[in-house]
Amino acid sequence: MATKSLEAKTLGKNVGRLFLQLFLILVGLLYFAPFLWMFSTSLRLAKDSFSLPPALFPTAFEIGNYFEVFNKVPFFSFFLNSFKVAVVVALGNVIFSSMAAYSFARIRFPGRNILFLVLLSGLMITNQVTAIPQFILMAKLHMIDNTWTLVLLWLVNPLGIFLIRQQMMAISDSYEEAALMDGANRWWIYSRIMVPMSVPAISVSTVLWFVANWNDFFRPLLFINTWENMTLPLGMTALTGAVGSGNYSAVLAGVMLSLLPCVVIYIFGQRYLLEGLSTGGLKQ
Amino acid sequence: MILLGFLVSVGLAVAEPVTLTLAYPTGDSKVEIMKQIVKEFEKQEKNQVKVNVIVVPVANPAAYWGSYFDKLQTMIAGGDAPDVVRVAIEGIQTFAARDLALPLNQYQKDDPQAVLNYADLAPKLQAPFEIGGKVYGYVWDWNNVVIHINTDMLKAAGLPFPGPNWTLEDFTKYAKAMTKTVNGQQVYGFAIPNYYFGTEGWLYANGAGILSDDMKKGALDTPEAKKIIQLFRDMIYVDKTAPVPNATTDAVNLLMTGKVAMIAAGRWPFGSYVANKFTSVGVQYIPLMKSPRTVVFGSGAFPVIKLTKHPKEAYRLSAFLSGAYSQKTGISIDSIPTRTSVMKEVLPTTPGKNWEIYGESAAFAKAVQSPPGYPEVASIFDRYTSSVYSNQLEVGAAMKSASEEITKVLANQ
Amino acid sequence: MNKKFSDAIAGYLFILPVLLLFIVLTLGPLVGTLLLSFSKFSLLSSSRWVGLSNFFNLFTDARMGVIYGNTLFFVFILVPLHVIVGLVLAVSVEGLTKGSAKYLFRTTFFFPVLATTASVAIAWGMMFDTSFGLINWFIGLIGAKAIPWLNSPVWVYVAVAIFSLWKFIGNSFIYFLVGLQSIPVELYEAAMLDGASPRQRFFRITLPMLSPTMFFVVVNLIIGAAQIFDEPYFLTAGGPGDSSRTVGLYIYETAFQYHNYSYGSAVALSLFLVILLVTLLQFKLQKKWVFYGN
Repeated sequence: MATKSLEAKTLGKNVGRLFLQLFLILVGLLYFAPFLWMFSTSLRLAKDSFSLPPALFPTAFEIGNYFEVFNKVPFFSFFLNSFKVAVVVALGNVIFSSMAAYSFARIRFPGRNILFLVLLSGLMITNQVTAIPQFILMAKLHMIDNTWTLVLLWLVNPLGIFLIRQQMMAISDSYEEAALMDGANRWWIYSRIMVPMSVPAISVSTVLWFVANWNDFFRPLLFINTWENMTLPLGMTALTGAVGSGNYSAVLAGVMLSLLPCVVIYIFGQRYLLEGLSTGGLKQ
Repeated sequence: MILLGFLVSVGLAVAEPVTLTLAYPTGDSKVEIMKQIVKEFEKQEKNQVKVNVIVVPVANPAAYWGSYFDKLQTMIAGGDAPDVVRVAIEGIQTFAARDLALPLNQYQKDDPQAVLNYADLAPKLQAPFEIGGKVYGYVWDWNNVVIHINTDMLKAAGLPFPGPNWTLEDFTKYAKAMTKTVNGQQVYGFAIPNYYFGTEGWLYANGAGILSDDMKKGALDTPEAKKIIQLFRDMIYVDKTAPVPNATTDAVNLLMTGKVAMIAAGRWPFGSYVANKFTSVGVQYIPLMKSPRTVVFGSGAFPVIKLTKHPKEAYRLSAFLSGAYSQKTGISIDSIPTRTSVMKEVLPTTPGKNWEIYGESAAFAKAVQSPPGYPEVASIFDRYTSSVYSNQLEVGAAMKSASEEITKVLANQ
Repeated sequence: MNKKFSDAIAGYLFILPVLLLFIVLTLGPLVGTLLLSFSKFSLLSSSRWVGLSNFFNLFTDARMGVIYGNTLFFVFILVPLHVIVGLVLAVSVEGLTKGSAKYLFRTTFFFPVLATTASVAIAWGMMFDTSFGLINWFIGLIGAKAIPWLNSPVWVYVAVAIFSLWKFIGNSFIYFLVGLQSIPVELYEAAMLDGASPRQRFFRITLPMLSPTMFFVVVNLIIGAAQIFDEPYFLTAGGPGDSSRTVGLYIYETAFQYHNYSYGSAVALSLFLVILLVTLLQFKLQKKWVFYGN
């Protein structure tokens, strides 16, 4: 009797489990479908781009649409600008955020805690709140339409500082003490001990910050005026305008092209991201 | 030493060519052609003047001229002012009112040769760029609003091509006849012109306008104006002969793919038609509602920014850009040249039935109402009409509120 | 040299780059917004002090009610949805899949986060088209009537929610996934020995252990949803009418399209205060539901 009900329970559990797995697969497919549609439609002739039934699988192969994108807008410049800004910002995060994190984690100086809280409150000071005076300031400094302006605006990463500081605080004092006894200075300790031991937190914050910056639309919208300086998100809107009338396929070709770097970023970044999150991340 | 340095720098300044910046918006893919045209100008000026074409991104194609002018004003405010800018009628009043444009009268008097054959510019089309006696630019291109008809769908419905005096009743009949299900998909008779310029075309045809004649008050709540908006709204929800428009709808695409039989547009779709090898199209005036017929128009020119450091050269560039070479090279297919001589050459090449109406309409065209503060006025217009077309607001109430808000904005300019 | 003094110097030196940039580019502008909201500013001419008149306009602005309503609506709808869906997906992927299947699912749900928002939003705008979009075509296949996704003041919220969930679920998903992986297995084993059902295990172990992660996720989601800009900008342009116009969009429109920098600053300030209040409230409440320690 007992065995039978256990078997029944196990069968029930397995069926339930199978059901849930199928459901998960369905959801996964739903998440993937839009990309499939974008890809297939980008290969259709312009006049078919809106034809029904919509393309889930490619039936046409008009690669001309992809060339069209490069003909109509300086797509490569868009990509280079985005890349330039994002990479410099990422490097900036690695250096400046870790420096600040080290100071907050390890050095006692007057006003440390208050300054840290102030910096952290920056997380709540959103884009739109500071955009107007930032714009006026940059206008007066003649730094509008300059990708370096975009870089400057992204160099402070309060969340990154927080995460890295968390990890640094968990590093044992003994390394530092030993180094200090050998006569090392702060910079040496920072660069040779603290940074290498905080790689997970640094990676996480860098990847997340890179992605956020890569996708930033609001700031380029305000600060960039000419299309040679546009980053990818802004460039996509320019593409829609330049190609738009009558050619959604080309727009989608542009969309697909803009996703390629994201794929690369994902492949490289997700390892760091996940490792970093599990070892360094959210322990309070 | 210092004196020598000074002399050298002065000498260099004299010998160096003047560089001008020409601002052009994205969106009509004419950037490469503009670069070609300015090269010709540089040749004419014996390379003493160099022209740098910068492309200003229009972030919001649904509010094209509005967002372009925002960007320009931002650039000027940010100290990044170009010398010569492409400005359409929608912006010139704002530019003049804000004292951003350079009056060119004196330069034209001193150097009339630059504007070869001023009389060749169709007077009605040039008029919007002469405000209060001051000349702010020389027109280059213009566009109007007519009805484009997909002739394949017309044939399938067994209808003859409409004549110029077709009435609103005829139009409604045509829209109904061409709304049907094809291969299991719904196709519609007409795409509502949910944009300022297009609606103005229909309002003018009914003796109304978005603004009052003196452009000081909103006039969408007159019975004639409300009739048109109500017509559009009913086409969507009562007759069901029009699809619901939204911010991203592309009427040209819908016409080419046979989803919609008629749209309201100027000559600009022909660029896309040619690029997509779409030839089954004909154009006809908006149905005759009030005589005499009025067709809306908008023209564009290349005013000079007042802050320019090289007004003489900028004037010459501005004038050159409205010249015959520039018009013939740049406006072959998707807008209409403003020089009568060039119109005669270029219009016959339009690959659509009844192209003659483009040239004819120059005689009775009325400028689209583009007051100072146009971006904000257009935005109010968009907001309220989109509420009506999405069946959120009733026409009477919406048009009343819209007119009130518009009047307030105009008063604040 | 006195250690305390040299420490102070070192401390400040290390934070100097970040601190300087923060003061000039964040704190300064915050004060700037405050000042601007009390004045009437013009880039091209002179400015003047107008006291509270911008705030008076804010409270009498007929559109403000709808706009804040929309924004708060998005906050109250999107945040719980993101938390629930993210959690469900994370629990499912963690519990039901292994190895390369797990990697595949992780990728599928996280990749949209990386995709260029502008690009995919443009594509989704096409998919949502009432007459010719992909989604309505599928709906037509099962015999239902086409939904006016971007044209109806009601459906517009659903459309934005769907897009938001597709694009950004990866964020909460990944945090929950990692949070789940860090729950010690022993806790579950002990519970199973005690005869606890899956349901009990979930509510007594999983949720409490995840609560710090959840707190972090919720705080960030609320801050993000309150300033939502990209989604409505690309999908709906705030329409139809004002039905999907958020405070973020309104600030942009007022300041950068109508060049009314002062009024825009007043609106921005109001948004900041709302976010500040809500976040502080959350920190106060966290003692009630967030479980730290073992």
